[in-house]
Amino acid sequence: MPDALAAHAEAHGHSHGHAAHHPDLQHHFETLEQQKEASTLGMWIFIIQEVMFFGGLLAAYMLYRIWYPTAWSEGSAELNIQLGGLNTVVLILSSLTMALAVRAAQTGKQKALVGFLIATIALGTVFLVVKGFEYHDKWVLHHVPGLNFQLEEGQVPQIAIFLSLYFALTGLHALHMVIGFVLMSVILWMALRKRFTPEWYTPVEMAGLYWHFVDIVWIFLFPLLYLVDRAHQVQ
Amino acid sequence: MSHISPKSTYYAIFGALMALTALTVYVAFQHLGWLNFPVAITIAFLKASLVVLFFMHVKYSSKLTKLLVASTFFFLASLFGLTMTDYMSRGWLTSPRGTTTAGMLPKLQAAELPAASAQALANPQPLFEATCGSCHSFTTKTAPTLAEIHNLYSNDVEKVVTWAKAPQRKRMRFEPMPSFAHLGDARLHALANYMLQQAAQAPPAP
Repeated sequence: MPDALAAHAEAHGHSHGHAAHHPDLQHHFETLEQQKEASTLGMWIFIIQEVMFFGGLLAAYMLYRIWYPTAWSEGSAELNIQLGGLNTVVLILSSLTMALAVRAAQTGKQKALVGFLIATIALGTVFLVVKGFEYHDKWVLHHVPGLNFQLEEGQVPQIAIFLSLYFALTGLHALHMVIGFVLMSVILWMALRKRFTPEWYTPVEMAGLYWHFVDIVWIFLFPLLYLVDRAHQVQ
Repeated sequence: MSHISPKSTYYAIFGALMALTALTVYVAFQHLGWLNFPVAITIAFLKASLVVLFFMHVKYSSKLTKLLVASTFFFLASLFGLTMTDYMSRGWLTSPRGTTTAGMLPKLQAAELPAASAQALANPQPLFEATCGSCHSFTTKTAPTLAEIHNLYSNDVEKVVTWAKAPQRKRMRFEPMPSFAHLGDARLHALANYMLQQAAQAPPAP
């Protein structure tokens, strides 16, 4: 550690009475802990506005469900519970590996950190592949509003509204997954370069917060889209 | 230094999340009536809380972080509350006659009803306008339009009469229709006939 500090002071070009500090501590923070607290708060503010972002679409969902209950029970019946359920398990499992990756960073287990990050990325990829199959099914069945939607005999026309919301919500969620994929790749690259220590692993933890948030969005989307009004056909 | 949870905690939370996922799928196929939806939402909130508290370490975070996370509910409640109070109350004050359906009721009951004779009901238009017509027209936005009613019942006068005596609430976007049983069968039949006749005609040009 003293070597690192010396190297840091060298790189800064200021050995002029500059107090030695951790190389990853920014100058405007007193301690690493204070710096991490600021990062955590910033990340949570970002997540709250993400919640509101999805919240707007969910408000539209609530409203249209009240207006067109039949479209909702007929619409959810068109979705594949097996694939949706499989993706729920995959995503929650990826949240577990993410949490374990953060723990590995906390305890300085370099190998475990890399392993859990790779597992998280792999599970995220599985999710997107399954999602791709689902979208393909929808395309084949002419269930994509605006592109190739065809109403089936006896269905209410507002089923197109339900399916539009399905694509808007799952599409935005999938976009978040892709962004998470890129984010995790950067974290993995940093981990491979041994950038993280038990003293400083803030990027792992922040990327984890993002990943868990995307998981939480799916935790709501699964019952709201795949399971809603399944028990009885609302007339 | 920040809190390090034992691995067993993460495995236990994962197990709980899996169990709750199975539960929400199971419950979705049980006939609980209107309760199905709130139960599904409650389970989703439970799962989200487990993720937030343990996977996202909020349980071990500073009070400021906890306050921030809790504020999400306030913002979400504002978003849903304000949106829903707007949409659910639309039509309360915009009946074509400039008053609410509820406000009209006493007037309707106090109105001098024409005698229930064939002669008195030969021209049901004034009665129609004082009753059904105050909400149902071709352009109304507070109740199903005449065209919609015609689509539903075409020439089934009896069904219209039955509905008018004991209306239900099919569509939440409209206020519930009050019962018109007090008009009596003869008047209701005349009204239903007149309504379907009007409805069968093309709507007036806007």
